[in-house]
Amino acid sequence: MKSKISAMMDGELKSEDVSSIITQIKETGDLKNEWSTYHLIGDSLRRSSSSIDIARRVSTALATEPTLLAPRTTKQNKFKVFALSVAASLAAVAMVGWMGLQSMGHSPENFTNNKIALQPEPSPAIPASSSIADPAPAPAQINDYLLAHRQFSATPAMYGVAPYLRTSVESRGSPDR
Amino acid sequence: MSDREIDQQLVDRVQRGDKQAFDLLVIKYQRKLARLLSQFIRDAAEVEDVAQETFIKAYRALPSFRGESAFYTWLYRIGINTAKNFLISQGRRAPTMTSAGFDIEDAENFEEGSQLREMNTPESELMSKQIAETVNQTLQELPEELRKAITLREIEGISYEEIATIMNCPIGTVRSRIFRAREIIAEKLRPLLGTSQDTRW
Repeated sequence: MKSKISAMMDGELKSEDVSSIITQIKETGDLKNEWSTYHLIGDSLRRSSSSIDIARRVSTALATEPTLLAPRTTKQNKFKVFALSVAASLAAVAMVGWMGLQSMGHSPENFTNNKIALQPEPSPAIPASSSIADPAPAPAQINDYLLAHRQFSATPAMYGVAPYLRTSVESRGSPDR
Repeated sequence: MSDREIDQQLVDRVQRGDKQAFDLLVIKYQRKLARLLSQFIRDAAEVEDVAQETFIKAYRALPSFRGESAFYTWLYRIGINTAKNFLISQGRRAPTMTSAGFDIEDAENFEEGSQLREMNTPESELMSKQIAETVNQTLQELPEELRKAITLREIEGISYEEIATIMNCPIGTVRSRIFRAREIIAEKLRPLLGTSQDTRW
């Protein structure tokens, strides 16, 4: 027990033990003396050898003070607020990302189908084609359909490379027909 | 748990209505605060009064303490203000902190401040002299490894882990050496402290 007090004042006690040790020091006169003497030793070794001991006086004076009941605004709560706000931000980013993926959900599939349809031809413009292995059949009708109904494709949701990829598909496909 | 976190935990308790937890903070910081105040106030009895007032002010202000700074920094700031107000109320000129070469940043490290003078009523001087002598003499009599461990901890302020490296032993051994050293010194101090029974808990 006393050895735990010793470790605690050096900041070397495990967090889960601290709370119960503080309670015991507070409530046991002997342990309070121990807490007091250990601090006195430390201060003496550091040559602040004042003999002041006003703890009793202060305690007596505080007896007439109202007990504090402050709203909890400590670091722990701040941390909680911070953690929650981070979690909310992550959730928002995830949500937006997921919605984005949903809205362009068809385009990779179409893209793949187009490529497979084009596979007989050499296709240097689509270097990634080999890495996308989609065994699904690629009926030529889908390509025709997509060519005819470009406005239904997911391109508006993808402002990046997708329009260009599909454009190259078109230009290659057209001489065939 | 670090020293500062332990102070914060004590502060939390006081903020939740646990008045006794404040005693532990007073016990811990009273001598350091008194040394700081003795920089401005010469008379030992006045230092005690101002120290007490500082703690009571701190208690009252504790609901507004948010843990942005360490508790002791906050306490020392209140102490310095209380000392200034005390000197003004006495019709003495409060020293400007800068001309004294002393401000709150120094306060955090003021233990090393050799310019700090000791409080000097004959009674308190005798008592602190006796305590210091007992502590130092017992320290010299300690077995080598106990003396080394507690010196590294209390004077050099080194963590257990670093002490373990320096002394080439497990952390558990460091912990028990420091504890044993404290217990031996405390044992020697007890008769001395027992003489002022009313101030003990």
